[in-house]
Amino acid sequence: MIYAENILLCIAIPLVISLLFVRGDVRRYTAAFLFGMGVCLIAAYISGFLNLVSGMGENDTSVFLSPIVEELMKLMPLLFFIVLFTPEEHTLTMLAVAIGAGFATFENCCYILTSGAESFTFIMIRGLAVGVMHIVSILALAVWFIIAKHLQVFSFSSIIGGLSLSMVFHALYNLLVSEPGVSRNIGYLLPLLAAAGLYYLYRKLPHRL
Amino acid sequence: MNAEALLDLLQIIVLIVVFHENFRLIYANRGSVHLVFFAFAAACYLLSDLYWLVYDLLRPETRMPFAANEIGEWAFFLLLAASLGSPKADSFQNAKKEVLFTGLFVAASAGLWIGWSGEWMQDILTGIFYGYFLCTLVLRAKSERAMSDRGWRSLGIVCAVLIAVQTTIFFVPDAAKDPLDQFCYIILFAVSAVFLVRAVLSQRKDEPGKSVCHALAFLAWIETALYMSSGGYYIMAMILSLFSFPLILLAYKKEVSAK
Repeated sequence: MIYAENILLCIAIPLVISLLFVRGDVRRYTAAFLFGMGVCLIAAYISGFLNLVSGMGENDTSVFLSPIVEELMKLMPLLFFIVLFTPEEHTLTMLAVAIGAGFATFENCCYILTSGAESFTFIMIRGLAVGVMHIVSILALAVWFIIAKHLQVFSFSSIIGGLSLSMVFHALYNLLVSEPGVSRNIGYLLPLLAAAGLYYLYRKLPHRL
Repeated sequence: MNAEALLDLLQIIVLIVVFHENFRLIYANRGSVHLVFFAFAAACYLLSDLYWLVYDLLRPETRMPFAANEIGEWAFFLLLAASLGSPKADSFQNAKKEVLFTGLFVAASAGLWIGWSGEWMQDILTGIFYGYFLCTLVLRAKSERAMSDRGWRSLGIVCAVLIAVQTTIFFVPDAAKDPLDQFCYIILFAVSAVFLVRAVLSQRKDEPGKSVCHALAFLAWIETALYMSSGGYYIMAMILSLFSFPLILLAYKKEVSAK
């Protein structure tokens, strides 16, 4: 049993105070990072609730339902920023990265407090796989939104389309790492490969459309 | 690896090729909206298929609970509908009967899916997204005059017979179920063959709008066949579905180059 709310408060308070002393992109990044941590806590509450309601068991809930909840929760602040502030392209990608990083950081903190931090290999896997995966899935969503805005096709269909891609990607990762053996190793590599592909796409695509 | 997983893998390879070719076309055509939506619909289908394949390999013989790939499937229908473009203002007036019948067909199909699987929420939601795609396709097909009045009537009769027979199967004794089932499969695959031939033949004609409708109609019917089949018939439907995405890509390619 860990007290996730207390951990969130402990990490968030210095960041909230730092918001008073910074301006511009740094302030936006920090605020989005805090949003990311906040939605991570809410996603954990919802997943816990679904675990009880569905009776699927903790493991199956985290493999099948958590990706849906987590990606939906990460989309919310991003959509909030898009609808309310219509940010520029670079601001949108920065906010997406910050939300993903905040989410991954808080999730990692809770995970480490539960499972311990003795094993360096485990810590590296946790950071490079889950950490990168949360950033990649929301950044891919932001890149898709940028493309959709460029082509003036930013609509309900495109939002659901982008969201479903990030959900299935996340779910695929969870499914692969849920079983020991080769599949788990492939799962750990998946976010890094996706990050490389996304980096290539991000550098090429928006400027050509 | 079983036949289903092997065909899933083949479908993934086909989709990767289609996706790659589609992106090449998007670059060449400065981001055609139809192609972009189709590319993302194909990506949703690709990831959902990949998820299904991984699940099948890691947890064989276990029923998959509600998972993200179902949301991928819903998004696939939404994005395909979006790839058809917005219907013209007067198109609903000219296609009221067809759209209404499509709605009834999808509602009855969703009822059958629930009867077979017992998954209320998933089947109702899948029905809504699938129905939206079918209605958009019907509106576009009507405005493009992709089918004659006789064709619409025949399709309506076939769909009504299919639903009626499938519903009857729930209530008849076990001995009568098998012949009725076989009858449904004959209808499903005969119509699939008709749609496939039409989709292939329309690629040769100089009517890009109709080609798109025929190719998507083939895909829609194959999806219906997949939802209504099991065992060896499901494998047959999967084999036929391998042709659907390349046909749609060719049709969109023709439409974009005509513009």
